[in-house]
Amino acid sequence: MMISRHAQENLASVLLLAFFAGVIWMCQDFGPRARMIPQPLAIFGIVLTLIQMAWHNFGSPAELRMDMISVQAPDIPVAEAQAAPEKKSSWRREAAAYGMIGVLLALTFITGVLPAAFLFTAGYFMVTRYCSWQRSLIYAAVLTASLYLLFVAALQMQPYHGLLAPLFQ
Amino acid sequence: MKNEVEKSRRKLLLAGAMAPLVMGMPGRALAQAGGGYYKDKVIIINVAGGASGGHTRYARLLQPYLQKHSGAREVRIVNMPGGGGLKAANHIWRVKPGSPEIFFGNVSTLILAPLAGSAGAQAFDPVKFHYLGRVTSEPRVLCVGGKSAIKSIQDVQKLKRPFVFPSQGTDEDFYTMAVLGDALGFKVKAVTGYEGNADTSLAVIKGDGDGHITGWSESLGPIRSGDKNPILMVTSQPSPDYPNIPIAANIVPASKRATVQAMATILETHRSYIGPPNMDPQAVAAFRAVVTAALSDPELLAESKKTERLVAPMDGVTQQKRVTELAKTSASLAPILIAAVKDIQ
Amino acid sequence: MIEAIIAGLTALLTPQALLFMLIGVVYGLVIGILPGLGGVVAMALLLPFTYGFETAATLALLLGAHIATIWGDSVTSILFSVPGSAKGLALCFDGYPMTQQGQAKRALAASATGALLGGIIGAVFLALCIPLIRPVILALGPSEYLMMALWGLTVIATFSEGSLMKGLTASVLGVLVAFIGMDVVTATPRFTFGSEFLMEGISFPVAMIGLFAVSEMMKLAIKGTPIVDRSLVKEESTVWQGVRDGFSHWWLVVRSSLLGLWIGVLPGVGASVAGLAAYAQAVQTSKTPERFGKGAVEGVIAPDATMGANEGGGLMPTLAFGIPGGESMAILLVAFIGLGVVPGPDMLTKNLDLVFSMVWIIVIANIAVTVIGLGITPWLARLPSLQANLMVPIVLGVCFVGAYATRGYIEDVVVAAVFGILGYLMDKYRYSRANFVIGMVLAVMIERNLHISLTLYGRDFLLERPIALAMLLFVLFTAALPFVRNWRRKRKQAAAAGVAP
Repeated sequence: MMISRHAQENLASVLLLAFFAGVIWMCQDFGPRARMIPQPLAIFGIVLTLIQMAWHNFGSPAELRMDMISVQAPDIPVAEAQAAPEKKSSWRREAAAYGMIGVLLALTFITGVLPAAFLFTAGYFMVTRYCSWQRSLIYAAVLTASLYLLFVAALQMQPYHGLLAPLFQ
Repeated sequence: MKNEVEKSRRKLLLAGAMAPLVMGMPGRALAQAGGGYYKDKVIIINVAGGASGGHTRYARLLQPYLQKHSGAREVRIVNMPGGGGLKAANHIWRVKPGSPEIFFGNVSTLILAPLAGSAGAQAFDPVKFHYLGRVTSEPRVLCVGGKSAIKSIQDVQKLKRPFVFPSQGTDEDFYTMAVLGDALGFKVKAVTGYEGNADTSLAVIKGDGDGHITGWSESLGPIRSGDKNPILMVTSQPSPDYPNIPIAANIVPASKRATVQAMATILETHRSYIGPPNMDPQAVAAFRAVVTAALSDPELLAESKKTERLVAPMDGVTQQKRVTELAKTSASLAPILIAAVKDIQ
Repeated sequence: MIEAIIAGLTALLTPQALLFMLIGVVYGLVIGILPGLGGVVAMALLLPFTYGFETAATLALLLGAHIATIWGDSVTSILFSVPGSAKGLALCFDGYPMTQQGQAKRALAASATGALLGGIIGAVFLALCIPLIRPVILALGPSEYLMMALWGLTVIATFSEGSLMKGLTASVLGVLVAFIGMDVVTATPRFTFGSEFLMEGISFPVAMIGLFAVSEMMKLAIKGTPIVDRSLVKEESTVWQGVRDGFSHWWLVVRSSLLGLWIGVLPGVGASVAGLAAYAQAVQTSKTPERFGKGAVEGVIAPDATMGANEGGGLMPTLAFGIPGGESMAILLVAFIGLGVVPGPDMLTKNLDLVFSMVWIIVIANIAVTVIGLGITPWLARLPSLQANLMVPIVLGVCFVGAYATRGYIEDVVVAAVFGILGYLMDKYRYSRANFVIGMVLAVMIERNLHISLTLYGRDFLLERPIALAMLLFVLFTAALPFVRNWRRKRKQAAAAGVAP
């Protein structure tokens, strides 16, 4: 995560190039009508990405602002600009955010959809010390019960029970 | 958001509580069909289609009666849309022995898709499923636009150009059209990509397309109003309301009759219950009996009439025999279907 | 006709019908607010309850619920950038920035007012246009739908924050993602890697839950501050301001409503396209297009007005031809049959009072939604200032359950997570997420209608379809309009600057 923003941008472009190349390669298996739109589009994507890379590396920053519609800096990033000094430690927080999604996903697969919502919410409150563990459990229970009533009782969703379910049958 | 959710939940529950009253739940039956095999068990019906679809409407019509005649604790309906029923079919093909799951949907797709070599239909063998009973079937009808110069199937045969056939994709009507074209000796130009029956219907009414195939009831409105004109039926029995519409198998050359007949039989398998290949023989017999009992329940028949969800039962044993016979005769269909799919690629 | 209008209204003024409408509206609001579930689900679930009640009550319940989902969808789009379903997408573009700038109340009220006015204008014009419906439906076809989709695509230029290249790349990505799954035109599975799940394609609501909701929650978790930090940004707007916005942009509302009505009339063009087309129209006709995407109230009013009017239009093919124009209309058709009403051309002559009953339901339900909506707006507007540590787990929990509930596939939860991370990265490197979803929504419509046009009319289909050709010219003209205006203003500014020193 210590690589520069400049290099990160290039990395993103390379990934995009690989993606578009993959699409073109897969299109070879399709009939002429099935690839009529995706294939030229992927080629267009490659062209766009190459231009973007060229400008990014060799052009002046002013040229990057290609829009005919003038783009003023949006009003919102004021807050982001203030956060800039903290950027150095921000990659830790970013990793934590990816981890958070991973944990919720894993919980969902292991315990099922609704228990995962309960565990995740209660856990999140506790880890971030949002409130005491008793309260965390109560809040999470209320949320889970609401989700159950809405999605399962009222909307007849068939809940997914998770990989652990067979152990309890 | 919470506040609002709280408030409305009460309303929702109220609506939920009204449900049984509104639907007029039939009470538990005294004697159970199928020797009480399903007594106090849970039956899961996997409906091959979305919550708004026709299969679901029928599944819900039968749900309380299946419960009544089986004595099951619960008959649960699970929607399993996707791939025109192939998703649900693949699912039921793979369930573990002893599973309470039953497929409900269109059987013709299950037979046609593997014949046409469809992606997604390679895994299962339609003959090996257990056919548990048909709920309904209606003739499929080829309609042309009300203002079209084509007035009869003979006009189609005399066309100097291909017959333009708007279609959603490779559904059973697409395959039927391919078989008809082959049997009656006219060329079909399938225009795929339409967004469902409303879209193809309009294309035909407007004259963008020459004609399309739908279930009889779906076209009834436009036929009555003169927007569409029925010219051919794919069925084995003539319609009592429209005796003048020719039946496909009767007008094709003798050499093609078996093929068209096979297609008609496949289409007539229509909306049915199907069990997995590994289903317990006792369960098979019991469920077939339950379906037969439910479909002859006078209460169900009255409700079916009132809500225009007409039933046309066929018992599971007969159905199984038909499908087994089909496996032999339908081989002649395969090259026609495969060619039709190739044509649109 | 006047008698039919009055008869239609009196049929509705029974306690049962009014109660059912209220139940429908409240229920629809809740469904609309939940992510992943749209009006179709709302109606389908109500259907079993409708057998055996009076016709007006049944229609009030079903249509009321359907109409309420529209604003319900908009609420979460505006407050959290979480579109409840595909329809709410366009509301994220300007509604969410408004929330971030402390104008949540105004945005919510403007959206509700837009939907109300759209619903009413749509209903009035619908009643006036009944004789025109059949000819219009018959005149337009796949080639014209194609042009409509292309028009929606012109919005892309608006969202290319900083780099047109990146903006276009994002749309290309979106289009390609939409092609995952079974291609119905050629019966070819594309980019599925042999997976049965991918054969179904990526569910659009699930992708949006990921791209917008999950990624926003990741951002929030990283920042650790609420969406709206009250110590920095005060909520300064009022509900009244939003209501006034709706009325003061009356011309925009009228245009958007008519657009919505006609898009609704055409089967095969969905409500999500309607929202985008409305947005495109608002941007292109604005004198200050550069404000869009950053909290322009017009960007909230226009899509809501269009979608409000869209529902009335959607009734038309069902009534005029007896063929349902969309999934929600298919459900309504089922209810009709249950009630013994036979839809078809006769509806517009013999059963005209029933048609007007429906027009009245649309009007009254819209009023009910707006009254309830404006009433709860002050509470709703407080939600974005909840602490991040409370908000993140709750919204993520709801989103994952919602993603699963959309189709009942557990794999969809993975899709939501993957798109969440993708959305986060796109946002970080300034590849517009809005462009991605616009590409995704319009891709299939463009591809299908292009194929149909080519097969039916051949390569020169535009020459055979003069209406389509005219529409193409119109699309090109409106797409160029903001660029031209901008260029002119820049030149003026440059000239002014040149003169000044």
